Amino acid sequence: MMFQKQAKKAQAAIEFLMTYGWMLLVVLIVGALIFSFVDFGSLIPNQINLNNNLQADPTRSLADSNTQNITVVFQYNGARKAEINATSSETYIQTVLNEQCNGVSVRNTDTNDAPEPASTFLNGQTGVLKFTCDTSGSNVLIQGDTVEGEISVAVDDPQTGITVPSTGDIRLTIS
Amino acid sequence: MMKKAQASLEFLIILGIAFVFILMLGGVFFSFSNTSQNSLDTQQVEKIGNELMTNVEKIYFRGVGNKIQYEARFPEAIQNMSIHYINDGSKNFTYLNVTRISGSQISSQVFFPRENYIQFICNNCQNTAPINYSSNFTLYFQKEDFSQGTKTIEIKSLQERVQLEFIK
Repeated sequence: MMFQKQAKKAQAAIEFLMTYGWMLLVVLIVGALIFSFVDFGSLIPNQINLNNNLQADPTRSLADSNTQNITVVFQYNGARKAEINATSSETYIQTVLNEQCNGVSVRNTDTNDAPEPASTFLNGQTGVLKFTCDTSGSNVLIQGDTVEGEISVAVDDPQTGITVPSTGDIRLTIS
Repeated sequence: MMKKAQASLEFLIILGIAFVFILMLGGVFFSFSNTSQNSLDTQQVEKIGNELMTNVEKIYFRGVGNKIQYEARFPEAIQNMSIHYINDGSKNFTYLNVTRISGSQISSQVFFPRENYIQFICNNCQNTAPINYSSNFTLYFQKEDFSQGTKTIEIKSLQERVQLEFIK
C-alpha cells in the first residue's frame, strides 16, 4: 500500500518534468544567450572616476566613433597650481580589450586657451582632455558599444617637479 | 484537463520571462554597485587627505604649541599610508601618499600642503631609514591607524614642522 502511494507520487513528478521540463530548458538557454550577447554596460550611465583632485564630468564627456576620439571634461580641485600633461606616457585610456587611447591635447576652458599638449590649472578651473584611439586603421570605438577601462592623466606639480598620475575607471557609451 | 495544462503553460511562460528580467536587472545592479563603491571610497580618501592638509596648514601657521583633534572615517581597502620627506638639495618638501586597491588595480592618492615649506611628520610611525632632515626618508603609518572605521587624528605644531598622530 505504502509502496503504491510512493510510486504514484514519483510518477506524477516524472510526468510533470517530462511535460514542463522543456520549458525550464528553454528559459535557461534564453537566459544564457542573453548573458552572452547582451552588453549590460550600455544600460548603466556613463561613469568616469578619477582621483588626485581631478573630477571628471561623465555627462559632458564623449566617445565619438566618427573621429575615434574620446573627450573628457574635468575640473581640477587641488590646492596647488598644476600642469596637466596630455602627451605624457602617463596620460592614456586602456580599455578592457587591451586597446590604448593616447592623450593628444588639453584645453583650459576657464582661460579660453587653445588646445595644447600641456596646460596649467588652478583650483576650480575646468578643462577638456582629448584622447585618440585610432590605432593603425582599425576602429576601437564602435557606435552603440561601450568603451570601458582604466584612465590615467599625468598631473605635474611645478613646485616639486613631481608627476602624480590621476587614475581611475572610465565607462562611456560610444556615439 | 486541457484547460489546466494551458493555464500551467501560460504560468510557466510568464514565470520564465520574469526570471530572465530578474537576471538582467541583477546583472546591471551588481555591475553598477561595484563601480559606485569604488567611486565612493576614492572620494572618501580624497576628503580625508584634503582635510588633513588643510588642518596641517592651519596648525602650522598658528605656531608652536597649537594642536587640533578631529575624527575621520576611513574606508576599507587602504593598503598603505605614508609620509614622504624629500630633500634633494634644491627642493625640500613633504607629501602624504595613500595607496588603495580600487577594482583590480592599486591606486595611489597623493596630497601636498599648499606650500613646500609647510612640512609634516608623524609620531608612532615606522621608518625604514634613520630620520635625517638633510636627505630623503619615508615614514609609514601602522596598519591599525588606517584600517576601516572612524579614527581620531591629532595635529600638533612643533618648532619647524607639524606632527600627525592617530589617537588610540
